[in-house]
Amino acid sequence: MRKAVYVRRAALVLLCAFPGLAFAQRAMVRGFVTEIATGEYLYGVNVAIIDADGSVYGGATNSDGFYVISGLRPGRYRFQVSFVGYATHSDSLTLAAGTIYDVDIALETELHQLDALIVEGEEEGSVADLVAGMERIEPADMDRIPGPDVSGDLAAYLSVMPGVVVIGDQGGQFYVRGGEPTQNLALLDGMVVYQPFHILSYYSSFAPDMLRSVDLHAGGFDARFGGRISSVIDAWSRNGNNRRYAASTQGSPFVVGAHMEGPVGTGQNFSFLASVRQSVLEQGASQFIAHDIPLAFNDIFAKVQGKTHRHGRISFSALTTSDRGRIGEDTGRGRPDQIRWTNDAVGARYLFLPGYLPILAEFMVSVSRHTNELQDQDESVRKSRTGRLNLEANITHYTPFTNIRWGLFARSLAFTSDLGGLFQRFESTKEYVTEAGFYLAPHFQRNERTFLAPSLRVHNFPSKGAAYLEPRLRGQLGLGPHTFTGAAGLFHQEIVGINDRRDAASVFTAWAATPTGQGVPQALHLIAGYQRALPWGVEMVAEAYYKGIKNLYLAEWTPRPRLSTTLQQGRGRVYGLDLRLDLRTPRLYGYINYGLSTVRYTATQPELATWFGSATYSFRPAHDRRHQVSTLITADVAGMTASVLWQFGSGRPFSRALGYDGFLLMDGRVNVFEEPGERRVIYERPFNGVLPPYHRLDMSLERSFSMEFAEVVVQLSVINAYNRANIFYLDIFTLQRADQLPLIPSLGLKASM
Amino acid sequence: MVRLGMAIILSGVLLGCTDSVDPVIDSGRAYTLYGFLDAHADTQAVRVFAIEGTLDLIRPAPLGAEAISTELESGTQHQWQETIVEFTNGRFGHVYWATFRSAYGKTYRLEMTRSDDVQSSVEVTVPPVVDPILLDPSLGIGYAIIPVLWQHAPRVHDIRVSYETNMGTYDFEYPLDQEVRSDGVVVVIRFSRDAREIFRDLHRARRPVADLRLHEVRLTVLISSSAWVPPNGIYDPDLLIEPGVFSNVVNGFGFVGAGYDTLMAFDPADSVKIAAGIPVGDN
Repeated sequence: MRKAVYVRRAALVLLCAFPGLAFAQRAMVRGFVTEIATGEYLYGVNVAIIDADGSVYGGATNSDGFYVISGLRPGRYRFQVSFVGYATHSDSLTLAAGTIYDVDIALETELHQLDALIVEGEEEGSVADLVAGMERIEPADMDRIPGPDVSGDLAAYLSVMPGVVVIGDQGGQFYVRGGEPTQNLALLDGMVVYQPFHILSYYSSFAPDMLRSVDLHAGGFDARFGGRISSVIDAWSRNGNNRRYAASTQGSPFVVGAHMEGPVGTGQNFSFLASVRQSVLEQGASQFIAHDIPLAFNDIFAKVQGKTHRHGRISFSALTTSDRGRIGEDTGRGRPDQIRWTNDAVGARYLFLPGYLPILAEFMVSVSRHTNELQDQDESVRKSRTGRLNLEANITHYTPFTNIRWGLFARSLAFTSDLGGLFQRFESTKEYVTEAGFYLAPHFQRNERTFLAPSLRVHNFPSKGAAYLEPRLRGQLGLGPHTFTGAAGLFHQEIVGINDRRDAASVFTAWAATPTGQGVPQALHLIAGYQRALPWGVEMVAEAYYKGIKNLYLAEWTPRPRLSTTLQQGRGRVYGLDLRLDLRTPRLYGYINYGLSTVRYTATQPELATWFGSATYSFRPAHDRRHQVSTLITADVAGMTASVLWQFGSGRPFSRALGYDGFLLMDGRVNVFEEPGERRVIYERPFNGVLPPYHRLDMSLERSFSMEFAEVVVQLSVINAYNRANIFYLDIFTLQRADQLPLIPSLGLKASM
Repeated sequence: MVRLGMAIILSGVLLGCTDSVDPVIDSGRAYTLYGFLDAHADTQAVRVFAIEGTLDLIRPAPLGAEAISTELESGTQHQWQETIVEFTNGRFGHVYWATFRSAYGKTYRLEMTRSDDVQSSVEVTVPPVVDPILLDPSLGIGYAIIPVLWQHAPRVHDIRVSYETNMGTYDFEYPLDQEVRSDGVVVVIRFSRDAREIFRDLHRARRPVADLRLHEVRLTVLISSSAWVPPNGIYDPDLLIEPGVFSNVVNGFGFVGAGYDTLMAFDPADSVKIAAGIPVGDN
């Protein structure tokens, strides 16, 4: 291990400049913790300072590997840094009043303890990683999910989470606790990614080799995040190895990919990381099973990061993705629509630790672009393009009793749509929108398991003359073996994704600002959770949630076949309960997730008063999957790792028709020999039917081989092992049924050097 | 817990073994009908859509329904024939027709019976004979309206006003504004407003208004059955396309009305013409 200690005499005046920092008679220790072999920052490392009486002051590193321990009286302390799988660093520190000590630590892997420690560490971490709607997902979590590739994927992991509903294995449409895909905010290194999932829903746009961690905020997120009313997927890439060059390559009938990383220059201050993936479904998997899979995608990611000086860290990230394909099957009644989309994002992030202030400052700038194109059967094309420039500053003040985070942001967004006329009442248009605002988010930490985090966000749209005030609250209370969590908050979404959810296979989305004068979508989140450890290595987490949504944009209910061209405003409410049971033993890992959810939308449409008996009607939307179960068992057997995943989802609603006829407008002398009229769907209430349940068994068997210059991992897997004909969607206009992918065997290889 | 997991998997597979789905609920309804019985026509016809289980384009094949109309008072029946029509847009449709003239004031029931004996039917009463009465006009400076009472008419549709002049015929289509009274329906001719339109037309054609002479006003309406009234009095296609809205077909959908065209022609008094600014006297 290595230690770098830098001491700065603080100026009392500066320390007192901020309320709550009047602790000039105290000292502060802060720094970054990295892994010695790679230079990667380590998250969740325990940093403790112990005084002569044995009192412990401590904290854990954040996702940047940064820690702060403040409010320390002058004196001599024992300084200890420990993390599962790494040799503990121990030292002594003598602290003087009014001093900030910068202590950077590099930890060394302790191989002989690793196996045993991993079990222990995961037991500690799993409960802590789930707090009031927020779960931290790491690559190891994704790797446990059996899939066609050696490396796990974020999309596969999310699809087994109890509150997440995936509409089929194509289209990349993820619904989080009742929220629609366009209500989810996806970030990678702070850059917005408008469509974070590939067209084959086993894959996200983020290659697993480049991910460090993903925070999924399924609801109740704090005031750092805004502009979406459902959830936040906050993904962070890892840093490249700044000690040596490394690379890997992998392949399967689904995807081939590679990644490289290594130091930049000779000073070990900078590193790079690059990854690329390309689907080979048409050449690979579809040949295996004689089943056409007309989907293709790729993603490229690159990052350069390093230390600019003792108190500065900078990183540059870039992502580009591309997807195309036809969703559904050609059943002879017309080919499915061709959809294409792309994401491009570049960003820079600068972390700065002022030498004399107990502050961590983060500055970010990013540009994101998203294009979306739909070509339907009659060759007409709809296009939508969205651009976003984002500037933000996030400042964290560290005081003995609380961390106060605040931030400023300013954004410029451009929307260009060529929709071939009206689409959901939105016309083809070019529009520019500006956003600016700030947030304040203090975090009161009482002890390791108890905190309270109120926050407030002011989100202003100068170009629209609108501003929203969003109070939020998060908290956790540890009482003996019991842990209670809770969150609440108000959320608005000025930028809306316009689509037609009547057709589950329709993934075309046009982004636009809410029309002036119309209410913007707004949501209230309430979350209450309970966690505790049970005997026999079982942990239990239960979380109940509520989302009340106003001003939803819903497709109008009309008997005219095909896409509706008008939207109506409605409201929605979501109730749910997520339940998890985790089992961890040295050689066996497993869990059972159960999700209970009910989603109901209500809309008012005067035309329906005669047919329904009331102009106001409510319905379960297509993503209201009432029950979800996923069961995973992973075991080490004969030097191999075997994983079995079974998923069950109760049937989703769909709209059953009473039949199909035609319509003539009888407004006078109608010559029935000359007037052709139009076809009509005689529908009953929206989404009045239920599709068959969904269930699937996936299995994988994996073995690693260590060679002189490389480590090779071989994986055999089967997706949909008993070849269940799970329905993807049913088009009530054409009665076209499309099923999800059948049984697909796969052989995956990965070589790392 | 492993046993619990296995039990869940087994029960889930057993519970979820079905993978079939029935996308259409059989409503038991047979046909959707549109048209009207025309008391002035020798052939009656209605458009028929079978209520089907798919949205496929209508095929040029017979529906095979048995269609019989009955005049309820006398019991007189007519068998209707099926014709497949190809429209100008290339689509096909089914029209059922019968050769007879519906009688004023009589009620007819049209029954369409499918091969499985499921039946849709509609009852329609043909309007009685009406007497148009010219009511006193309302006059002012540059203002003239002429109310016409269609005595005993339940409703009217397709209101058209034609002005026969020495410079040509001017036609106006009127909205369905009408006052329904116990003794009939009043339709108001916006005489001065129409006159201003005629003057504008003459100005555009650089023809002198002073030379205009009005010979006759012709008011044509479709006298309609009492049920022929759209919700809110407006023919809004987005509303009327909703199933069950504006429908009088039993065990089916659609609307079948009854009616006939009628005409009233008159030469307005000079005072009415003068009020509307139309020149009078010899040219």
